[in-house]
This record gives sequence, C-alpha cells and structure tokens, in this order.
Amino acid sequence: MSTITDIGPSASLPLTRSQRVKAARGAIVLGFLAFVEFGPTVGLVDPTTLIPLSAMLGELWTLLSTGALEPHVVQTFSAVFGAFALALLTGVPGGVLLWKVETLKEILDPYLLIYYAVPFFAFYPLLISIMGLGIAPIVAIAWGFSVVIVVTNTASGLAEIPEVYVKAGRDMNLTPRQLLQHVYFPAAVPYVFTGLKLGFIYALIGTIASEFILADSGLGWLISFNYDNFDVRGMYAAMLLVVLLALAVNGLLIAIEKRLYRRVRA
Amino acid sequence: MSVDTGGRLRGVDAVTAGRLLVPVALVLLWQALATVAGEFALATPAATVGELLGGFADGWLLADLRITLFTLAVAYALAVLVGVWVGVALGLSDFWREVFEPLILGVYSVPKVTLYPVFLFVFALGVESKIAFGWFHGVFPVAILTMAAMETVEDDHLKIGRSLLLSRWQTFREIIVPSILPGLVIGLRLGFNLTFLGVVLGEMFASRAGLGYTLVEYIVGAQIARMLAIIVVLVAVAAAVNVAFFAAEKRLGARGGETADVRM
Repeated sequence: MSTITDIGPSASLPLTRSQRVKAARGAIVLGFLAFVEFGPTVGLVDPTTLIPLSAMLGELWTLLSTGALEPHVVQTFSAVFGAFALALLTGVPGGVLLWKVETLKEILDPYLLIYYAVPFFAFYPLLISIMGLGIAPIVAIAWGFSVVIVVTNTASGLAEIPEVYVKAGRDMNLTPRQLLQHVYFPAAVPYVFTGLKLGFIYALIGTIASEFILADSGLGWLISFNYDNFDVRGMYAAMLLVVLLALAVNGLLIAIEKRLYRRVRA
Repeated sequence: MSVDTGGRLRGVDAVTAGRLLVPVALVLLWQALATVAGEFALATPAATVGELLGGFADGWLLADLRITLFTLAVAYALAVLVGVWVGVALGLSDFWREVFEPLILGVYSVPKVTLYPVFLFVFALGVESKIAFGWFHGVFPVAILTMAAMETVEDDHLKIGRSLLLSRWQTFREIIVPSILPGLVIGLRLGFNLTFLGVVLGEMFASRAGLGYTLVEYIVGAQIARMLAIIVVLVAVAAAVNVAFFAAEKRLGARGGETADVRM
C-alpha cells in the first residue's frame, strides 16, 4: 500500500530543485523576520509603530508567564468552541438534510452561494443592541459565519461517496439505517472533516474579528484595546499570539485532514 | 425545453417557486421576530424600509454609501491589478510558484483583522487605511485563483506567442486572459466579496465615516431601524454584484469556486 502512495509527483523532481525552492522560501521568510527585527532599530521604520520581533516575543513571554493573557485566551476559546459546537450540531444535520432532499438543495443553492458574499460582520452591532455586550453576540456571529460552510461541505461530501460503496452495501441487504451507519458516514468522514476544518477556522476568525470591533475581553479585544491606549508592545504581543495560534490551528487541522484523505485513497 | 416531460417541468417550477419564496419567508420570519421581540428590540421590515427611504431622501445613508462605495472601488481595482499580476507572474514560473504558494496560503489563513492596527499605523485614520485593508482582503483570492487558473494555459500557445514575437502585453491579452478567464472570474468575484468585507470591517473600527462606521455609531442610541437599513443596503450591494458575476460565470462556463474557501 505504501509503495503506491510513495510515487508522488515530488518523487520525479530532481532533489536539487526542491532544495532550491526551499532555500528561496527560507530566504524570503528570514528576510521578512529580519526586517521586523532590525527595521525598527536600524531606523527603517518608526520604532513607535513597529517593535522588533524579539521585543514582541519578550513581551508575549512576560504576559504569558504573569498570567495576564489567560482570561483573554479562555474567553476567546470559549466563544470559538461554543460557536463551533453549535455549528457542528446544526450544520451537519443541515447538510444531511440538503443531501437527502434534492429539491431543497436546488432551491437553496443560489442563496448558499451568495451567503459569504454578504459582509457578515454588519450584523454584529445589531446583535449587540439586541443581546447586549458580552459573549452571546460573539458566539452568534461566529456560529453564523461558520455554520454554512459546514452545511455545504457536508452535503457535497455525502454526494461525493462512490456509488460502488452504496451498491456493495445494498448487495449485502443492509437496511437504510445500516447503510447510513456502515457506509455513508464512514465514507463521508474525510469530506465532512474538510467542512469542519473550515468551520472551526471561520469560528475562530468570527470570534476574533467580533472581539476586535467591540467587546469587553478576549484576544481580539486585547489588540484593539492596546491599540487605543498606545500600548504598542502589548498590542504586538497579542497580535503575535493570535497569528501563531491561527497558524498552529490551521497546520494541525490540515495535518489531520491529510491523514483522513490518505486513508480514503489507500 | 419541449422534450421535457411534464414531471420534469413541474420539478423545475417547484425549484423556481421555492427560490422566489425564500426571500418572502425571510421577511415573514423577520416580521414575526420583530412582533415577538417588540419594536424597540427589533424593528419591523416596514419600519426599516421607512428608514431606508428616509435615509436616501435626507441623505444620511447616501453620504455614507458614497464613501463606502468609493473606498470599495479603489481597493478592489488595486486588488484586481496586483492579484492578477502576481497570479500570472507566479503561474508562468513553476519555480517561483512553488516558492510562494505555501507562503501566500499561510498568510491567507491568518485572521487579517488582527493586523488592522498595522494598517492604521502606516496609513493613519483616513480613507487610505480602509483602502489598504480592503485591498489586503481582496488581493489573496484574486492571486490564488489566478495562479490556479494559469495551469489551464497551454504551453504550446505560449510557444506560438513567442514565435510570433508577441509583446508581454499582447501575450497577456491574446493568450493568457482568454485561457484563464473562467477561473479568473471566480477569483474576481471572491476578491470583490472579501474586499467589501475588509472595507466594511475597516470602517467599523477606528474610522470617521462610511456605512460600517455609522453602523457602530448607532449601537449607542440603539437605532435598530437605521442599523437594519444599512444592513439591507450592504446586502443589496453584495447581491447585485454577485448576481452579475454569476451571470458572467455561467456564460463563460466557469466551474468550481462554489465551495472555495473565503477567508478574511
């Protein structure tokens, strides 16, 4: 099995070329990091608008070790996980429904397509007026931002299942319920996971953006609060934390996704 | 059409009717929620339309709309210009494409709103920072989808272009654009949507004008009907532009992009 998957497109490329690609990429990343590190100290950029990378890391370390960031991390992730759980509980059944009822899917298709065209955060001030400032309007926005991508990916994922699997199941005289349990769901896992991956990332973005606009705590709020109070060090430390968290979450989910798809294709 | 059976036609009619009913159902739901919650918590559709018409008549809405649309137009034009240029340039060179693709996708995955203060530092509080922020949102999908579409350009066509001694601009216009158009249109649509989102988001934070700014201002007075009027305008702009794009995509036979990942 593994010998088949080993013959990827990268195997045919000469090693020196991929090394050159990596070197060029590394040089660009290093150049950018060096600019952030030395730009403010050398005088390329105004040190009141950008602080060296090492200063950001130092400040982040101080804030983390004193526990000053903890309530904000907890607040943000409560909202993210709350919104994501809601998106999962509503989005997956919604996707199954759209997959089952073809007409409904056809009716809703143009609306689902246009959904992410609407500047969604316009609803946030309205929700604050209705629900009051706090975690509720944030979870609502993050859920709304996340649920539709879960619905559409679940529906298209289930439609993607090879007909052969279903035929094999029918030949074994499986009942419709058994078919769902033993064929459709296991086969759909990787596709549905793609939707969940995006759903989680969208919930994270929705939460941080809402906090950034208006909130009373959370990592997004911390960035905007420090900006408003001219605390450039604190602002960049919070910004760095959010960027690192986003990259880590993204990397982790993509790694899981790759693993799931490898199982399907093997 | 004439070969369609009666059943098929009924099915099509049901879908069309259903599609037309969705907005009606949404307005009814809105009305029901407003009735249950009371008019101070949620304005009715009628009250919102009243504010909307009033906003155009006395100008408060129109002034903000002008500012937002101007910002959007400039930001989008720059996003298309830079995005297509980057996408084509990287698409023409396998090496640089391999170098930059993971970097672009990596930056794309970061919630851009966190970086907004940097834009404010560089461009100050005026319209420039909103233009730059909108551009930053829109340029990624345009570049990424252009780059992906560049794979459909045939090497032979480029070779013919070279042997005909076409200039760079001619190669772009006569060979590349016709080849990548179906994919490009999807990139342009997603780019527009994200630019719009970036502009409104930028206006909502540290701004002095525009629909996003006014929206946040109305929280204080809890001016629900006016907030809803602004939202209706934003949705209308997004819907109108997207319907135009869908028509273009359909004509060009563009496929995919329905599930394309739209990140801000």
